[in-house]
Amino acid sequence: MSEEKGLSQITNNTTKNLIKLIRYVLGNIPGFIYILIMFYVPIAILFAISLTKPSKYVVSWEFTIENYVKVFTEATYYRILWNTFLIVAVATILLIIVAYPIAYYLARVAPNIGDRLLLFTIIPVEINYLIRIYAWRVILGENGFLNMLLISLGIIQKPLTIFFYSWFAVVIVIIHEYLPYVVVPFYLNLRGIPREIYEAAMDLGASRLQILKTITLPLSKPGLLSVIFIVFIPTLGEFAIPSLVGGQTGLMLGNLIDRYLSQFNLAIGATLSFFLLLFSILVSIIMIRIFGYEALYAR
Amino acid sequence: MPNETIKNKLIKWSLTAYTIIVIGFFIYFPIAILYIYSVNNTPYFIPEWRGFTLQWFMKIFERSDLINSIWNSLVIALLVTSVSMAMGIPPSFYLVRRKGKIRDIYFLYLMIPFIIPWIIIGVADFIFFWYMGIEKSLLTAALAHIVYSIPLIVVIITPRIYSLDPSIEEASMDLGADELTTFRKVTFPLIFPSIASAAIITFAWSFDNFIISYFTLGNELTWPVWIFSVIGKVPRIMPVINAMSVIIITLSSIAIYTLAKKGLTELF
Repeated sequence: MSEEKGLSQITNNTTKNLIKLIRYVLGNIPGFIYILIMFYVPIAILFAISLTKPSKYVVSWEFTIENYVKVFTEATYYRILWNTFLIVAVATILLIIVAYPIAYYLARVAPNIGDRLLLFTIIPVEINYLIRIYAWRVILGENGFLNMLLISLGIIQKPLTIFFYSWFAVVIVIIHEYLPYVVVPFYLNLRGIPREIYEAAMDLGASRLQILKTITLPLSKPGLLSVIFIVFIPTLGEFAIPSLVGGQTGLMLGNLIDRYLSQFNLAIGATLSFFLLLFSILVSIIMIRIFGYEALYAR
Repeated sequence: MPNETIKNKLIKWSLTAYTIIVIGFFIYFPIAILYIYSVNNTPYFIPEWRGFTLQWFMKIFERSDLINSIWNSLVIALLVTSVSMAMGIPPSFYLVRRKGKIRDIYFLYLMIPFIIPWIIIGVADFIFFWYMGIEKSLLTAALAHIVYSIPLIVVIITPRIYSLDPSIEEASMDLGADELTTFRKVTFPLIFPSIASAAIITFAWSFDNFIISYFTLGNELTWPVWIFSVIGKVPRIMPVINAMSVIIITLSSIAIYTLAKKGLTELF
């Protein structure tokens, strides 16, 4: 008797599971198809066009890998690629150096006001990406605040353009844009380390420096992974910052892509974009290999 | 050990001073400049106080292109948020509650558009619309924003569903509630904070997005693209941009701060 009841229970469960599965599939179809049509299909077209001979306003379907060779052998391209990498790498390293003490302060020295202080640093960044780049242009620009200040103090006679139109300005603005986004992951990370670990270390006679070196820094690794994903990879495609404050020395890959797209020289633009895509995915894979998947979920 | 306490205090004080200087002077410096020059009675950025004026705020109303761009940004952000919420919430449940290879591959499928630089989405969709002969407009820009918004919502909501105890839902069903009622009365209220913050962040990111809009907009511009298009080209527009920026920064800050205070959102 009970066996029969058990059997019907099982069939009942399988139908229930089947209904659940069908519901999952139905719920996921719109998103799946959307991403397919609006992302993967365009990427496939982009890749196909990157393999064609450059020609303006039309796609000439003659396949060649010349474009990829060009990008790595012609100085106009690889100089800017290298410049992009350098700017982003320098900005990321400086960001970590500037942000870590702040995160440490908020999480370990002033944990009571940490959340509120963090809120204050986040508020100005939540909406205003372009406004803040614009604000830096107001400050660093040729007729900007800094030049006007230096002139009125009699330090310089004519506006300096070294603030504006430079590599240095791009790095400063990237740091300003992303600083709160770097403080947050480190802060969450440091706050998550249980107090008992520190107490135990202190009881055992470890010095502050020893604790920092053997406990705090190694446990901050997940924060480092977040920084790679939040700052390093996205800024590789930065366009607004170098165009508004970069000038000649601060040119980045984004400017190059924009130049070819606005001339409707799609093959070169597509090649550069696809290269950026491959490079970003490669960096992500290497980082996940080093730090492990779990680090992404560590909050 | 008095020596040790002095050292500790010194470290504490220097960290405090450092944090105040970086946040107060570096983060807020450009924003303070915007506020000052939005009411300073001069169109130039001279280090001089020429008296209080509201003329730059008044001039906002003379620029219909500016007001239009704000309106366009709001419309796009609203459309993007509602459509991506509908397409992003179901995958979040699937990704948390199913295991196996298909799930892992699907996760990557959704995340790749999210981890790459935004310019790639912009360029790919630019070429796609051109190749398909679709004329660019506000709608095409919204369509392109949704690509990164779906995974964004997944990233924000999944941790919350993870921490949800499935036995709560089971208990509700054991007590006779059907699945829909359970979702409405049990699951939804529990994950609501993360849904609310997902909506707010999606809206903010879309309103703020420059690079994807830049490549996929038609003749109608959004607010960030409009700023970009007039800087350096339209003389004397700078103080008017200052004034509008001050309005937006003030309103968005108040909104985010109140929402966070009410515990409606988890910003981090």
